Amino acid sequence: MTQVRFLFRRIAFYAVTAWAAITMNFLIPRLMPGSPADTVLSRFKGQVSQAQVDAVKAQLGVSDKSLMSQYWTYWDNLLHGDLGVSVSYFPGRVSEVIGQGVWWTVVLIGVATLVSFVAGTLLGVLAAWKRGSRLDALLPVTTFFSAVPYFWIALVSLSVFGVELGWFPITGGYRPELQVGWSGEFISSALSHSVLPALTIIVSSIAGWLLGMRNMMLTTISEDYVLVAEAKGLRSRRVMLGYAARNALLPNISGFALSLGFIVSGSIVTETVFSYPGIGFLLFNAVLNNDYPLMQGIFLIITLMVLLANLIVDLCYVLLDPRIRQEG
Amino acid sequence: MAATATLATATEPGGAEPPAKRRLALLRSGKALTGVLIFGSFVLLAVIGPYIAPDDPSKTGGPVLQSPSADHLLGTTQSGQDVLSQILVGARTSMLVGFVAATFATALAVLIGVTAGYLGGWADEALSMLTNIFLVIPALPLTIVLTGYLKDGGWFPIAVVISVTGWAFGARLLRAQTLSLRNRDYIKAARAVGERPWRIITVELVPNLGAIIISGFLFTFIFAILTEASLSFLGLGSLTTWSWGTTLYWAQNSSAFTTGSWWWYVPPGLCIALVGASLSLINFGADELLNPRLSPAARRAKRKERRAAAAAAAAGKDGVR
Amino acid sequence: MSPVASAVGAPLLEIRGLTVDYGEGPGAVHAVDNVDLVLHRSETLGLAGESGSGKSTLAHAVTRLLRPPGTITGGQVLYHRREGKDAAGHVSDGPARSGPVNVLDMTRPELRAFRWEEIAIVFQSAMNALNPVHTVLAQIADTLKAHRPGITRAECRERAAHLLTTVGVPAARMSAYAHELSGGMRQRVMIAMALALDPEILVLDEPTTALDVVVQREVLAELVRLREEFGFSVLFITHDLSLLLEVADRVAIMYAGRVIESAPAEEVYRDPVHPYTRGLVASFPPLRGPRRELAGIGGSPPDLRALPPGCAFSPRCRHAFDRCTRDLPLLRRPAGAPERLVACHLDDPNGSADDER
Repeated sequence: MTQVRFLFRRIAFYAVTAWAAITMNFLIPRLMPGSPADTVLSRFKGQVSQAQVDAVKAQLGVSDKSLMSQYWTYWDNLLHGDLGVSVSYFPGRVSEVIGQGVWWTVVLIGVATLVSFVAGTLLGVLAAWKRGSRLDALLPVTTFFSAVPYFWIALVSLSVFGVELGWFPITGGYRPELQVGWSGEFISSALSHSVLPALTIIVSSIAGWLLGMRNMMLTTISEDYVLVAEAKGLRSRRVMLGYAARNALLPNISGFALSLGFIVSGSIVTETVFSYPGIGFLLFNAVLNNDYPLMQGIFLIITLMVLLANLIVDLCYVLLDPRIRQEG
Repeated sequence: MAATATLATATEPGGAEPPAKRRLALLRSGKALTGVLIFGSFVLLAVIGPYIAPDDPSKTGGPVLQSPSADHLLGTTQSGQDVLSQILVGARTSMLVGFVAATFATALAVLIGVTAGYLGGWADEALSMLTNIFLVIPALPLTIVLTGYLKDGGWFPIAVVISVTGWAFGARLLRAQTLSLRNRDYIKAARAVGERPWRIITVELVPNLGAIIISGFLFTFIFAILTEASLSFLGLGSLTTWSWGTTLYWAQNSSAFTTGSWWWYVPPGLCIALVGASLSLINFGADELLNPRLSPAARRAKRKERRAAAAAAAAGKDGVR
Repeated sequence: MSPVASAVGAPLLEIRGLTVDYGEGPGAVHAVDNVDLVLHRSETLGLAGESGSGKSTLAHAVTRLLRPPGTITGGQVLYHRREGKDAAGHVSDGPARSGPVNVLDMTRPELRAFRWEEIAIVFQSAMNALNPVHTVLAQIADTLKAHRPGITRAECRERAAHLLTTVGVPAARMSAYAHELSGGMRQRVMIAMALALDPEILVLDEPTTALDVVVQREVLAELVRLREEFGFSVLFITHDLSLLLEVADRVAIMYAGRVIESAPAEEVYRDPVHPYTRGLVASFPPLRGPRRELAGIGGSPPDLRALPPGCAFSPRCRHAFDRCTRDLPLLRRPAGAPERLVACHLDDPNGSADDER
């Protein structure tokens, strides 16, 4: 049952990583120079009760209690879904604020990444299979796009497609006068608002998949089993997909974790450019407003979601690779 | 398969080969050379930029939002600042952040990666775990949170934060390479005669990791420039010093993107894009150089080579028997 | 006429003047240079040579599996199909239905139909030759489906089970992946797969080199038995001449992309003519009979990019004389040996050989 062991090891790793991220989140406000609690409290002078002042202080590490007991309290709150009070959305809870933004981000990144992965992988397969053809022109073009920071592509597509051509809305997640819900009007508005952010993420990230797949394909194409497949008289498409691409896909999938980090980072900036109501834009606003509790809550949620995504990818990997050997 | 056999010997960079030779190999790749050249010209710009800047980048009062002209080669901003001067002065900040962050990150990567690879066992398990954790945690959110606490500290804390979030990639590469070097004969010999570990690491190992350390350094360098640009663009960097990201920040704040003042936002964006492209090019070159050994293709080539050697021996090529 | 040779039938595969280059232009290397070979029906033809001699390239060229930078620059590969059967084993709109077809002229669909149906290949390393992510059954089934449209899943299973049992692998192993099989097992699976469509020709490219000696023997014995059972012809490629002498009817020796000697296996062993062949035969212990002193061949294998003028073997040849470094020796039939071809100036009645033998 090597698969079970593989999954167990991965889950253990993600658990440790989650613990590390949660602990880091606890330590950051306590170790950083300056006094975040004072900054926060100076904003609410006279507006809040003593209990709330104490809560903010405790959360940001101003407390008479020992570090260890603060840590336990922190865990206790966390396990109850309590991430504290947001400063900029006072008296809103951090968990509520994040809850409103998180789905925008999940859908945006999820769909954009899926499209980018599928399209990039297929293009990479074709680029390797038909190397020397006009598809080779894709390489320098996509490489350039992958090297340019997300915000630049976001800005350019904003000014070209949004302002000059006026094809798509350039700001927000939906027309503000609409009610959030399952109405057709709302959904179509949300879709048109998400085109440019999604396009930015796709254009920026597609090259990674394309190049990774192409390089792995070039390796697998020279494997004997591809030669055998050809010698067996299989159709070219079957050799390309079932033999060369099927094997090249595996390393590309196991590189997903790294890529996802970059995509998430890029989409934070992208959301900001388009004032998209996801948690990237929230994070940006939280930093501008010194909303430390919200900032940290978002960091935590983003990290946990990235870990979850990686776990899902690992599950796919187990289904796709009968060998499952842990690499060192 | 004559061609395969000769290819195999040609693409196998021997592990014991002096690092200098390997570095030359990096430059022999056209892509890598282009990348290094682009990057080199920006380094030059960073050194001389502030001296050749025609104006004080912060000085206001000139003509407002002017398109490029003889007086202002790259036009002016909404408050009448000279864009060219901002680019030239900003080059230094951007490059400085990159350099400092890359230096710290590389030092961390060497320390952690080489130690893990060399010591093996539990130390390796623990350090690899640490490396993997930092690889999985998305870097920019962490960087943003950390800089959120360090507001208005200038560029230096930003560089430190970037190095803290950006060392893991290099460490992983170095660990893998150290692991393979560790089992080479000359290292084994040094261990057998009782050389002290730190001596083996500094004298025998690190020089042979040169190519990877250098490409890791360049990678982090450019990664840091891009990260700083993102932070500054978001207004989370230092707004008191000029960098390309800062210029873009002001450009966006003044709606340059919606009013069509392209001379304001295209040049800094292009600079960042070019530096980013040089990163990709260098990365390709390094990939071509490093991967033959690590990729399955090389293992195949190696096997073929061994097979060839066995075959030749069996066919009785040497008259020794 | 040797008794073995007389048992052999009509030509099945004729290779004429085949030339394969690696690279293009002045830097091109002739990996296979003007090679003529004939594989007869029910024959086992052995092809021996060091790595770099072009034997594997030849096998890939014959099946049109060459990868760039390898290109076929000349010659023909003529396949004589069985009476009343075209290349695909059924009536199709291929070219001339009778008479040989040139494999090198086939269109893609023709080639697809021809492959595996007529020529199947077993590669050296079964680990690499089996797709690591598909089961044995899936890999046998996709071959069957490609050539027998309309075959059902159950029929595929049945056929796979039959094939595996034929080569001595338990039928239950059909649901295994390559990494779950032992080395010998994998090679047997590859052989089973090669037999899936009952091909006329089996190309064995170093089929046992990656196996350890005991397993090597077993697989070899299996192959000999299968050949008797199915009656296919074999092109057996190996660097191990001693092995070939045991299994092959006829042996061709390649050196630097050319065939330098070909003869019935027995004759090659008993009376090698070309100095290189003599060197090879002297380098392994005798199969039977008295022990003799072993000797290797001095010098290093030829560099195809810088072949000497004349005979490529001349720098390593103890018998070389001036003509050897000048004229390229062509294959000729030495006097009194009708089954043999040799490319050597020694004993050439048309040349000025000093008699050194």
